[in-house]
Amino acid sequence: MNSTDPSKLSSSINKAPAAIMTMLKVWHRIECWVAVLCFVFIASVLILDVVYRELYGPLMDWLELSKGSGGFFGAQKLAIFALVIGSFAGIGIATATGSHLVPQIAFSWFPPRWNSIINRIADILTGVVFLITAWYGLQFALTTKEFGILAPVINMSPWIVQLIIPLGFISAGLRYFIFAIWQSARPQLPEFS
Amino acid sequence: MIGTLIIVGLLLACLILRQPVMIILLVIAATVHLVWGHGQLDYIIEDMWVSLDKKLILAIPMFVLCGGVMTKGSTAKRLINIASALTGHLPGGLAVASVLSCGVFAAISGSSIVTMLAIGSVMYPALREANYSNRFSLGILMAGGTMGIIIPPSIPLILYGLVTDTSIGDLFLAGIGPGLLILFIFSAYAIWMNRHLPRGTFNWGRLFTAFKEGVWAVLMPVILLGGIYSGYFSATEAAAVALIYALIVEFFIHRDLTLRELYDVVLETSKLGGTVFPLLAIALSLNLVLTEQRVPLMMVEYVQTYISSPLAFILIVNVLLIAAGCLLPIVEAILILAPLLVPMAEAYGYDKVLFGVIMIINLEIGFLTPPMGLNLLVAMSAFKQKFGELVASAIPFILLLMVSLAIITWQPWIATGLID
Repeated sequence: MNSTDPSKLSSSINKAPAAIMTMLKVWHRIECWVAVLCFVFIASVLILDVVYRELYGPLMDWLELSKGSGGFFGAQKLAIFALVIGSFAGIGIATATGSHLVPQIAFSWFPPRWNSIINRIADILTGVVFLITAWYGLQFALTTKEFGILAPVINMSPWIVQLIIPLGFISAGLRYFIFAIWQSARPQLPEFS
Repeated sequence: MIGTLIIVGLLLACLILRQPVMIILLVIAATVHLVWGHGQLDYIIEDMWVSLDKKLILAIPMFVLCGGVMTKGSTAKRLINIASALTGHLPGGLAVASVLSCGVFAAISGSSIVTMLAIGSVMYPALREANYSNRFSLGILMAGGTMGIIIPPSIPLILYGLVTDTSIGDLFLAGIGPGLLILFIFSAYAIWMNRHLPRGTFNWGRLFTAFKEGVWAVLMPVILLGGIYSGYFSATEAAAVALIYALIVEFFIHRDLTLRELYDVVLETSKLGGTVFPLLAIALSLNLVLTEQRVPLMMVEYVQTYISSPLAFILIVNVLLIAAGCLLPIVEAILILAPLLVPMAEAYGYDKVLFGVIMIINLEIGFLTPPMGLNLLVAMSAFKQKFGELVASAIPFILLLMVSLAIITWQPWIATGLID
């Protein structure tokens, strides 16, 4: 369990300017809406697909009318794309809300007075790894574009969707740098993470 | 050898430097690529993309949304009313009602914590008022919650299926028998422990009223599992149908859900998605490179030089998994351990569906064991109890779960009978 003493920690951390906190809040809200819209989209297309196939299709058969393609075209592929977008927007959300799972085995290995400095180093390191991953993510999306790779079923290039991979990692990485500078912006880790 | 030392060193450094599991897995995957692979780190991203491109993954957010919608409404109360009307006349009837409610609610929510909180918030005060001991009341609700991860639809079973390429339908079927066994053992224990408490009387009128009000909630698991096993829907489609059903029931029949609450449910699902799916993608990417480097096969060969008996293997694995359940959250434990252990289990003649159930029950025990037992930690704030009191309350139920695990390992047909 976390041995951090919040009262001691708060005296050694510097407060983030109001503008930074507002920016983080707006940034978080945008990511929340992107993720919410993606998950609403996933639920909607999957539901429409089932309704189309199980209700609309048989009804059209019964009325002896054409039922079209027999389902929502490319529903599952589009839903997977939305899942990827929602999930990678979710990396930022999880960072902002302290929901990333952090093993706390080694938290008690150092005296509590070291917490502030270790947390800063940890945040910088996490930020750097996320930014490096973002760079490789960008290379991946650009390669898909360059080679004109198409997604099966819907026959469209997925590179725009793939751009969410670097964007998600950049969002999380930059947040960690902000936490390293202004530790008051850092969300409290859940006790059971 | 040097590569292994580098990985152990990096793992230690990551733990000291308080890195999230996502970073730890990224660092290990990158090291494996650099030391044993072709050194092309963009493969990690490519593997992540391929890993998420599976339609079965869509079932996870759908089940989470569905469970969230039903939890926000009054489903838990309606299920409890039915269970209480059914079992109120038995010795320890209210405790049996708690177990039954947890079992049915687990089949809706697929989550241990959600089940414990939804049923516990109503049943804990009721049990205490009816003179059930504090420890027993806490224990039965915390343990009842754990059924959420074995009774289908279970998110951990879906994750296990994804990382080990096992049929989710078979895993769900295999979860039913063990789920019912655990439900029976908990109920029998509740009756035995509370046999001296006053009993209620059976009332057909009360049962009829409770059933009339709760029939929509009871029908949910029937529609969900019936749809999958009749072959009418895939697991993903069944989850979508269950979500439509849950929305119609909560918005138009029970009228317990507001748009604001629905937004909160979707936001919670998004947060979970942001935590679990990138982690799942990275873990699957790591598994791909480990498989490419024949690591699971090498582990099988290594272990087989020391352990020849399948019984000894499964006993050791059980101990290892219980220890892992104590230290690791269930998602990480499945993502990291399942791909490494399943090839070994198969080499010793264990079916991977059965092994999945054994693994999940082991990790289920981890929900009740310190220091990382999630149900214990959440119960601390939910029931406002001391950690020590909760641990003491959980001990008899941990033992009961171990007995269930032993029975299932000894008699595998309990899990695999429905599939056969």
